[in-house]
Amino acid sequence: MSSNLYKLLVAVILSIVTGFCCYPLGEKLLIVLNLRDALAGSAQGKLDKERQERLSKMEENRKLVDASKPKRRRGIVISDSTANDDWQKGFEEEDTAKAVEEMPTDDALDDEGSSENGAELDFSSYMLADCDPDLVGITEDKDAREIPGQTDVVPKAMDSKARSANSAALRKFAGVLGKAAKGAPYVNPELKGGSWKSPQELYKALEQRVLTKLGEKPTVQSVVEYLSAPENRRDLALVTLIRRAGIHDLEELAAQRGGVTVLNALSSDLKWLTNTLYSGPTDKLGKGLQNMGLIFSRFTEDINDETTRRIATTTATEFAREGWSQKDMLERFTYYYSSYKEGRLNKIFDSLAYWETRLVTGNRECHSWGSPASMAWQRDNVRLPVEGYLGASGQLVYRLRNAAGDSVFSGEYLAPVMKGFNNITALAHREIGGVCGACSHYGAYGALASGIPAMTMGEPGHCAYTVRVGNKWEKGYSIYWQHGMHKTFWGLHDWEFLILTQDLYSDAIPTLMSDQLAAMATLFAAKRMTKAAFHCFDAAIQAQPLNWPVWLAYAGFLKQKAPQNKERWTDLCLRVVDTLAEKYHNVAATFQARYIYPNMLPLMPDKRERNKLFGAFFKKCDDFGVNRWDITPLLNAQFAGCNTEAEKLDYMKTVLSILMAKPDYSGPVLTWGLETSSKLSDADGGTGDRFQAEFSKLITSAMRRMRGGKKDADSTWAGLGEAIHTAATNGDNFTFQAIGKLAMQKCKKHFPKNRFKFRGFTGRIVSAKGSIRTGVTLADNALKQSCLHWAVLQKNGGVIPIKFEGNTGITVKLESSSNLNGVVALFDCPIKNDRPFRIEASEDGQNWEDTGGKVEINGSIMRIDLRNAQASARYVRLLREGDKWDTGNIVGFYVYGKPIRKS
Amino acid sequence: MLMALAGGSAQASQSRTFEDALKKAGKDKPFVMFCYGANYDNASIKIYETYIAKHEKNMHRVLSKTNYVVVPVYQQPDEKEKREYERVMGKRGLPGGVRSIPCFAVLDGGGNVRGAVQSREELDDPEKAAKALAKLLSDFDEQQKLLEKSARASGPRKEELQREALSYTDLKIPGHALYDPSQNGLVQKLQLMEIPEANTYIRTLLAGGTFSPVERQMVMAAFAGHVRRSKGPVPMLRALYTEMRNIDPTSTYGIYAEGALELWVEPLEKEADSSTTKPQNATDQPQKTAP
Repeated sequence: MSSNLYKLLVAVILSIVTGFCCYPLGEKLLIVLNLRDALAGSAQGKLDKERQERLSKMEENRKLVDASKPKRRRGIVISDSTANDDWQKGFEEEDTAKAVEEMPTDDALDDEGSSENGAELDFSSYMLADCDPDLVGITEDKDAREIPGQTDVVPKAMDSKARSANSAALRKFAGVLGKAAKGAPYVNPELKGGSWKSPQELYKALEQRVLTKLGEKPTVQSVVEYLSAPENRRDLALVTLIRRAGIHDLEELAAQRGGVTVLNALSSDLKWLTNTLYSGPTDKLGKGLQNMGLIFSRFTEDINDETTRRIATTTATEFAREGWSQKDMLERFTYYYSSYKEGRLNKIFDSLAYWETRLVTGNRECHSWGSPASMAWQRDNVRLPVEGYLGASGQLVYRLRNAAGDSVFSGEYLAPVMKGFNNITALAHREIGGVCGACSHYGAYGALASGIPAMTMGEPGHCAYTVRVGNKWEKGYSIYWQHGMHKTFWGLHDWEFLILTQDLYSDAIPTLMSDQLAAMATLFAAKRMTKAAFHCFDAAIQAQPLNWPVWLAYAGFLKQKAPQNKERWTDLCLRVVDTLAEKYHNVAATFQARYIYPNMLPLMPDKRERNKLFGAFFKKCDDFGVNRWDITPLLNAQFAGCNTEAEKLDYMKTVLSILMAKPDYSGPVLTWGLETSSKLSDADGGTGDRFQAEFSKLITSAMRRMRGGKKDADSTWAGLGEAIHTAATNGDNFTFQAIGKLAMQKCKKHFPKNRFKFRGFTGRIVSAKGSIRTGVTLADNALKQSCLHWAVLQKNGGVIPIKFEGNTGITVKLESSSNLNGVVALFDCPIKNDRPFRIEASEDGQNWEDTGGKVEINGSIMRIDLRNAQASARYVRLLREGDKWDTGNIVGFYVYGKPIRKS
Repeated sequence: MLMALAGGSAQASQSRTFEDALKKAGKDKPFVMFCYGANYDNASIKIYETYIAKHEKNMHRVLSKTNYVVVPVYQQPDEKEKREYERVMGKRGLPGGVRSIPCFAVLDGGGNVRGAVQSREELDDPEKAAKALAKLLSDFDEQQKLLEKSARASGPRKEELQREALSYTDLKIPGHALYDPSQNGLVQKLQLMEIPEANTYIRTLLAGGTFSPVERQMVMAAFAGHVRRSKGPVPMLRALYTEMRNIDPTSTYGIYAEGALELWVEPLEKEADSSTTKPQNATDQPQKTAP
């Protein structure tokens, strides 16, 4: 008892000292749980002081890496275009996504709420308080019985013997499902109209039937045996359907016109049920079913037509999931229904599965591009073979300003023609023009209008799109590796998640097995049959390791039931590495960084143990895999697990030595190292400087180890280019110069050897040891050339692309504050001098003043005399009045002056 | 199979390959390329069957008088389908300018798409489709004659002939780049001018250049945009948009002008009317100048 009281005291003090309020919700919960457990004196809940300290250290580190998150993603300059907004939106949405909402979550059946008392079952979602943003626990039914040996028993992680026993059962199950898919559909019109009058009673009866058949202690083998019978699969599907849809929405549906007809038809047809439940997320399924009721109340005669069912189900569920209106839903359904009936869709549409159809009928623009009028026009006037849509964006003329001079970002751009073109967005843009957003929408919606899966995607400062050709997603109008998909199933917008979605659902039988086992696991969890639930989750992952929502559901359940079970968390981490990470590096990294590390690392004080796990993952990543991806969040999450300076340095050393040897990752890890070390320095005050020095040494020596051989020269050049760009964006002159000089040593052949002739100014060149940046959004190829930006400040010159527009121009951070005498800028083209240029100066890079310098332009040479301007500054920028000019490069930029000595 | 059907009943005017069609067209004759989606598009196949295989009478009348080639377009073609396509097109892709399939494209001997009948509105109605195609073919002949004459002429006569050739708005002339005020700096140039100066500049430009009707409308749109944004005289704006619309009311920029009148001119006129009805000091009224 006294021991528990002592631990309680420690916990309270720790909470206060480390700032309880600063913790994310999940950590608060952990602390509260620990306090509770300490009070109760339970063995599992013993307060572990070390762990608590590690948690608080992790939190500190997390704050540091949060602070190190660049406002601009790795130096990407964000323009004002809507395309860019879309791209950002994609990533913002990611943070708030609830990826596993389709997993059924029970609400408690309290005493008054039990079915015996006639009150309503409420299965509304319930979010487990958690630091992991979308890990959802499963609410247990209050009427769940205690089953000895089952309830609250967390089994050990599967060993190889259990795994192979599962494999045999799963193989058999796959055979059954494969046979069923080819055979006659299972239809059982057992449920009559009356059954749906009380979904609650129906649910209880079905649940009882399922659980009775399975017995008190089900195993994976017995579950698989049970699911091998179609009538049992149907029972499970119905139980799942009712749990996900919720009693209330089903009662409303049963009361609406045609509702019972739909429910009867749906519940009697196993194929339709399966397609409805296991073809992607089913958030707000109750509303989705109500949408289906509405559709079939108007199209009753087609309720038995398979394609109509597919169009109706996918439109209804997607519109419900997205929260779009029933009016828009009906219009969208009618569009695809009538287009299909008239034979005006591409043949591809005829054989789409439900999940694929959801990408088509659930396309994101209910109005403008996705309006029935615009889609019908594209369907009839942009009819192409599927490959043709990848080039269809070229049918639009790229015009930032239309013929009248109105900007595409203003309402005036299309306004005069919209009425005359019957509000057909696609037609209006084709005739008037558009920029990347319109071009990409034109290409993507051309395909979508014909029933072909496609979507737009944001890229930094750009909008592109993708069309699925065969089973492959092909990119159209893409200029950058980063893509924020505008249509997702799980709220995760990276390209790799689209590929995962494709691969997951294309592999139909394993996915179906996995989904059904997960549905069973969820039912068991709700009935407090913890052991069986764990076994079923294990088997569900084994059946289909690509099933992202199942991984998430399992992690949520683990977090709920055994948050401190190190063995299970470690096993989960290793399973991710062994399966998902093989091909989907980004997906596996996301899962580990978001859901595993925050729970596992506090349980793992030994840095060697941690580094071994990290290393196991990196071993899988020889190259970028499916698509280039951002490794920063993963590294941040791993770094957050380090507790002491020594651990941080050790981690840094380990990760740099592993990743710098991999050409694809050398640039990104270097960039990450630079950002992290600079932020550490800022955040840690005095001690940070020592740290920074250590980090800098590490990074410099790692850079020197970058391969400079012929074979790796390109990747070294590209890696250094990315890193120097980041250094410029951070205004880190020291690193900018170090990388520039290193690049000159290692990749000399890339640098020009110009001999410029121009008249300079008095004083020395105070820009040569500074850094320079441009307002241009650099695409992949341009980013790789960023070391040439450093050379622009040197005597033989380099290349930096220009973009002058508003306050965007060329900015130089000088080596120190200086009195300015003049600036010389050398261009590689005649200077567009129809608008005035000016030099602005600043001490802090934030507040700028026009120097009023006299500008002389002679062909491609610009001289700005500042001798009478009395200007002194640390930062200098060159701007141009009026309209954008972005076609050219600066090859030399020299600021003359005299450094101001500190007194 | 459909190709074989077409091949079996080939008319004297039908070329079996694109290359043959090019050769037959020679330097100054057009030919028609009919493209259809052969393995993915029911609507396309229906059009093919109606117009080509079953020789729909209106279209047959047009096609029998010209040189044409039928191109089956395949989606994700297998080896056999690739061969079918290559039998007609060789290693060539479809020429640029085909925006939708099925379509009847009119090409010159250089293989350039000069015009096309490709909208659903036209294609669904055999009479309309045949009429549109016949018009493109006869316009092609007329335009070609003018271009040849213009090549031989010089000075103002040459420009006059070019202008006339450009008046066939449904046909593109190879090598003629669209005069686009947003791309060629006219919009930016006008921004730096006062309205009277800009007016003189535009009138001189239009009087001297060889512009197609669309280009004339675009130049006027640029000027009108400048006047509108500079809050220039409303009667001038009305005159500009009216002139622009009257060049061709059914064209894109004709529609644009009509919309602009409704959106931007009429409200200003109403505002001016209502303010003139109020008793006000005459000197408060803005000075308005004639265009």
